[in-house]
Amino acid sequence: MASLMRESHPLTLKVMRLSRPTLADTRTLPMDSSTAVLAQALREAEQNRPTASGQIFSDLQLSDAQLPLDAFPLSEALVLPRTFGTMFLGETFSAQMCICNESAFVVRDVAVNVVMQTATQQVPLLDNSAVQLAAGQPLNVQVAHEIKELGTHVLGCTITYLSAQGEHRTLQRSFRFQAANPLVVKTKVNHLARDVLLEVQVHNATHATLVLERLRFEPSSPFAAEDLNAPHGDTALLWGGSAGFMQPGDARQYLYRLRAPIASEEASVEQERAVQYATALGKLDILWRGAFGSVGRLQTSQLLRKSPGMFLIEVDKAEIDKAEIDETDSSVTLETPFCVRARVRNVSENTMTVLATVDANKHPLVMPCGPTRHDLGDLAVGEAREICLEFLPLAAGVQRFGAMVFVDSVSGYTRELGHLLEVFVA
Amino acid sequence: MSSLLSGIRSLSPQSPIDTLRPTLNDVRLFVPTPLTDALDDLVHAHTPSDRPTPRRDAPTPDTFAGHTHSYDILNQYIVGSQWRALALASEASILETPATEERTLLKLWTYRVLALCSLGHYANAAREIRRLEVATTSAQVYKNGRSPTIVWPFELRVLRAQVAGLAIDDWPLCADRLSSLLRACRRQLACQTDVELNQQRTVRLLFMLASCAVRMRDAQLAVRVMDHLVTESPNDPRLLSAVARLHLQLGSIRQAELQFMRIEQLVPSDDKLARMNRALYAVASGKYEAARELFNSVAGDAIEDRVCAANNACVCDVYLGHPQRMLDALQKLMVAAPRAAGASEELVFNYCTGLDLQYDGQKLREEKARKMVDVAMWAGDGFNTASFKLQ
Repeated sequence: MASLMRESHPLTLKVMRLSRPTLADTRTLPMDSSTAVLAQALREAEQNRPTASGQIFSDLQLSDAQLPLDAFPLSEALVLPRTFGTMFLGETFSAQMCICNESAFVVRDVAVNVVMQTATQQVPLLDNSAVQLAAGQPLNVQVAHEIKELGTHVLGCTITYLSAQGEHRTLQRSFRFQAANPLVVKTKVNHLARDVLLEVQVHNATHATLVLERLRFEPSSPFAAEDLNAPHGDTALLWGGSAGFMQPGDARQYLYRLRAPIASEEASVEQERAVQYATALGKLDILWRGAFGSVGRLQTSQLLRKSPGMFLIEVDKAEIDKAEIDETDSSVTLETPFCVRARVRNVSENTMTVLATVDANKHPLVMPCGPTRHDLGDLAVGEAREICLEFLPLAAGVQRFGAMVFVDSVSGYTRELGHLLEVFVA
Repeated sequence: MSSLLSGIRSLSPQSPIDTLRPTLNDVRLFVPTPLTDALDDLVHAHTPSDRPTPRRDAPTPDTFAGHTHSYDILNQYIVGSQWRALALASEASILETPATEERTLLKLWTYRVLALCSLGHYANAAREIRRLEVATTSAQVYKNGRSPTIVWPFELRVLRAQVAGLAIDDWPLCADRLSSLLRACRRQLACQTDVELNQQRTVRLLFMLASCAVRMRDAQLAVRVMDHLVTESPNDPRLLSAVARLHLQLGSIRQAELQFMRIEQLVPSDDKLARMNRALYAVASGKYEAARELFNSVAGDAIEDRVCAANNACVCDVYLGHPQRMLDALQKLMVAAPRAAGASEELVFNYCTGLDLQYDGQKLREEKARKMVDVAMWAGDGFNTASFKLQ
């Protein structure tokens, strides 16, 4: 509560922040259910103090056999906010303002103008028309403002009025408070082929328990997002029960997979370029609740990544021939040749004449055992051609293989591919 | 003392060693009882000397010393919230009771500690409890040389646990002590001893543990404890209401809503409990107009019997932009129920918050002084004067 009155003004201004009320704690005197002499007196004392008691009544005649009614942690009585508290980004600041005519005379043409001033803007909150206040009469108004910036906020109130002497006077007051950040959000981007795995960590930076009600990722074009946090899409496990509680200092981590909606082999060069060069991933929309349901909502700015870019010659698909792979564990057999089909595509802006060469020395544990040079001929813009490569695994375990070099004999452009695939050799 | 005599324990009650060993009725166990009445002091400080003020109880040790006081009288002090009188009377009774009457003494100590806690003298209560622990151990060891078997009354053990939190803010210690009591109750239940009594004690202790967890700001622990109770009594609407309120307070609105919906299936829709629940849910949803109507429907015309509902309707008036209406309605409630409402710390706090909003300067001081006088007429000892919000 803020009170600022100067002796020279007949009007006073009081402001009270309207944060949520709370339920009173019970001040339960311990009683026993036995015939202890104390018990009856304590029960009677509790009856005289309904607002301090945890007793909850119904019209029904319910049995008290096993449920002592006196020890519930919270009573039924609401209590107004005890302090101004801390203001957080994403919450709504609302306040009750009372302008009271403390003089013995009528004050006319009382007009109230309220603004919220931040570091970057001034937002008008109230500008009511002039009223007349009799002696002792209050004028009650409410203002509300969604906190969208961190740092210092100043609630500026200007009251103009006509005094009993017919003089135009102005009463100006300001109330300063800080808006803090309730949640610290950190992200980490991982690339998985064409997809993006986005890790999000949310940390409760307040001194109170928050309840996360919703954390939603809104992807930017050209991505579509898959929420990997809810098993089988059951979000109750994420936000229900005590799972949504975040104690002060707690952190939660979430994972999203971002995919391009069109498979690479079906996408045009322009579409593929849009995916590979896209830097904006999307925004997080977070909704939480504080004590007694006070709502807070934040939306992050655009989450960015360093785009992987594109080569002019891409291998947009490479897979081991299905007939040669053990489907139970996707493995190939030691010292048994297998075939890989690779689809090579010209994603430049010109026609290319492409020669593909397998580097036999880079991965000696999985040797090429067929032709190592493949002439793909002329590839028009966006055109792709499939080649079949044979390899022989010489060691068990997870092995990388298929280092290749692609050369365009027209422009001299060369692309080196470190490895085509990884495979488990059983 | 000569080394020839060391190790020889004297059994004579007149032995010098005995004077060092405290008994359960030992005067050294007591901390001087603070007898000031903060409310009375406040009334005299803020009321002009020419205005009459209520005459409040001013017990003195001399009134009680030298007598034992019956349980009936002690219980009357409890009902009347005369905690200073209770503290003095129980002290006097303890000093007059022979040391051999251990059960009686421990009952009287329960009254004594209860009085100190109700007066807010938690540090004194903690000190006296600690001294009593030493005296209990000492008394039993002296008696037969074995480990103590004197069992404190359940209420006294619970007070010992609560005082740890209230005196030094050590809520984890409070939770530890309550858990220890809980284990003892469960052992009794396993042996089928006093089954109904121990079941009720278990439930009561779990509620206190939940309360402890709330104070420790461990929301998950509080909810887990309450959920455990719900598992055992899934169809008691009062328990479900208590759990739902906890969820509301913590901000878990969806969980509160689920509990409220379960309750709606267990009680008629116009049941007082169902309407209170809906009203509280409306407050948590920011729908103060609907909440106010529901609270008023519960309070009805008999506001003195439904103090909580009437108070809550008044609180909604502030959020609806009508603080003066809140003040008028609260004042009416406090007049209608001067003890239950007029001397309620929560209502006085709400009322003084409204005064702070509507008034200033001399007018504010006068209104608060008036309220102090009203409260002083009905409030017992230990009234928390911080409710008047005097900076």
